[in-house]
Amino acid sequence: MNSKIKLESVNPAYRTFLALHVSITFIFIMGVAAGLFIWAPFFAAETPRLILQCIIASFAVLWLIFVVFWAPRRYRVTHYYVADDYIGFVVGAVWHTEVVVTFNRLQHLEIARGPLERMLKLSRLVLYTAGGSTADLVIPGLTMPQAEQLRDQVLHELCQEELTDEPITTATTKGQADD
Amino acid sequence: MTKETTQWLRLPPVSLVYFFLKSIQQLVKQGYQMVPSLVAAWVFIEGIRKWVPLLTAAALAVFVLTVILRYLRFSYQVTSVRVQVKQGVLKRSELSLDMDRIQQADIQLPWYLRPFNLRVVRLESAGSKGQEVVLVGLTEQRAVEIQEAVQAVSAQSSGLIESSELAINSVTPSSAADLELRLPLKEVMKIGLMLNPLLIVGLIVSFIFSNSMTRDMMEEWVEHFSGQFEGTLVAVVLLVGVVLGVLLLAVIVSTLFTANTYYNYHLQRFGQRYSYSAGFLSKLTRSFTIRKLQGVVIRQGIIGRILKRFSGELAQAGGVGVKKERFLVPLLTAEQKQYLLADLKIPKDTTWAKVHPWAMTRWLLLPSITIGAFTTIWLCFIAAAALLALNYLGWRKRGWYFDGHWFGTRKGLVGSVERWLPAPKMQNIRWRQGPIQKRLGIGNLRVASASVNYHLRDIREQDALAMQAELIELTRTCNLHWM
Repeated sequence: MNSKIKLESVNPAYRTFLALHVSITFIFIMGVAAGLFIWAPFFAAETPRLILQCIIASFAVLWLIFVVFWAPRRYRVTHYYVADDYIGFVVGAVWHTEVVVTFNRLQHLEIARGPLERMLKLSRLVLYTAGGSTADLVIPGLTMPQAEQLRDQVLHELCQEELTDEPITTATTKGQADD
Repeated sequence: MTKETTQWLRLPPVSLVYFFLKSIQQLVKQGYQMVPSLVAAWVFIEGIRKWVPLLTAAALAVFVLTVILRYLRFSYQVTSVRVQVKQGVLKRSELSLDMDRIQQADIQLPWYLRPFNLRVVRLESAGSKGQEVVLVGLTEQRAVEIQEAVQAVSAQSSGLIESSELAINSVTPSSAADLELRLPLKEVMKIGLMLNPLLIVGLIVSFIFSNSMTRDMMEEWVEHFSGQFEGTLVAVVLLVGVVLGVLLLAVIVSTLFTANTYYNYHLQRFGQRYSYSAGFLSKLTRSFTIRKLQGVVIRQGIIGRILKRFSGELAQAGGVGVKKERFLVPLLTAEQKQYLLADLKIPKDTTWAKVHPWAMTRWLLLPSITIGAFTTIWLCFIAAAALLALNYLGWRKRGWYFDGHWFGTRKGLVGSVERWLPAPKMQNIRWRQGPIQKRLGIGNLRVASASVNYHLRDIREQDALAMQAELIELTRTCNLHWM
């Protein structure tokens, strides 16, 4: 990444989104475990109580770590940047990832919102290129005006783009082959 | 040039054969999942058995009627700018395919159209959601006209009209070709071997063991077979003989199959258009402009290495498993490989940069520990040593190359796979670094193209970031057509 490019932070509500997202996943896992304990007598009878308590305790500790430490940290290390002709997304402190897409390779882009994001007034900007079947770059934790402004900025850059008729790839011409 | 047809046209009645074959193929592909429920109905619902002949006849009648209706409801229109197709029985659809979006135009002469001397034109559009139009039963002249119209549009849009490029039939033998490559029958026979018959045997074995019925039948047969002999040795020798016989049969089948597909293979380039023709029972003529090239793949498997032969692919948009009709050069000698790469302006004396030795530790610890946990500690060490040796061989072959025009990667163990991407055609780039990689100053770089993704694991951070910056710069400043 170019050191002169300014990194933009995502909205602080993204931290709450991450904490809620993790909590829902943990509640789902705990719900499945509780269901097994209540409705599957074999599971309740055969599993020693101490092991069960240890599993529940470790899940609770893990959940606490994710909510108290991981979510705020993840929010702090989630950034995006917009340069003259390209857009980038940087995330992760321990496992660091950076994705860059140049505007002239964009196929289409969309603004997406899930129920949690809608509740927190957040949205995601999703960018697609011809490389791969899934989204190539996703910038989460944007407010709706932020996402719309970013989308318009990218679309404006795309409209400015002028392509010449010449192709990138050409085969060797006879003169070149002789060289 | 194509004659403009503004009215909707029908295909000739002989194309019903195509619709039948296509419907049977779809039925086999999707219908085999119904087999367990049909068997269950036969076993458990006794009353249904007497109705089976009637139900079969009804199903057959519905099938035939559907095929005929599919044929009757199919109509098309070809103009100089687009091809339009109306099709479907219950769900009607109208597909419009612009000529400049067509990346490949094939003319086929399938066995069932040979007596009528009619052709099949297959047009495939570019993009990740590639669409296909198949026009069956056209005269040779009409098929060539349509192919020419596609070529003319792509030549115009790339500004590369040359007199030789729009030759009437781009695969007729011609000394005017800019590149020419022929495969004699002796070479074509080697393609089947290179496809590795072990794969076919593997598929048969995996099918046998995929469900309990065939597995039990197989076990029963082996037991019955062994029981016929007094000594175990005789039975084992005979069983090995049977296995070798199956292997030999697979070799013969795969050789004959590929010999039929690639018989009389003839690759040519006129101007910026590559085309090839091949086939014995069904003849195929395939062409595409280099403007649409998204990558080049050169492969050499174990058998290819023994035979000192390679295979190549001029990759277009649409990834592995997505694109059905690929532009293949099935067999190349080392000289022909260099000839083709030079024609594509790919550098010939390549020095592959190596990835960090840490790459050798991948898939080392976990499998070794698992083996050790279930057996003995010694086996854990032996497995670790064997895996390390394998990883070392893989690491020696792994490499990358970048010269500002082409980006290439190479990998392999005994054989090798070289992939080349025209650098400014990059779609996106991703850099990823884990905690250990960060300490070692390495990481993983993924360069995505419209064809396949190029993965460089455990590449040095300094090299990766410099290459990332250069690739972004190249792509962002490139205002030439990439598709």
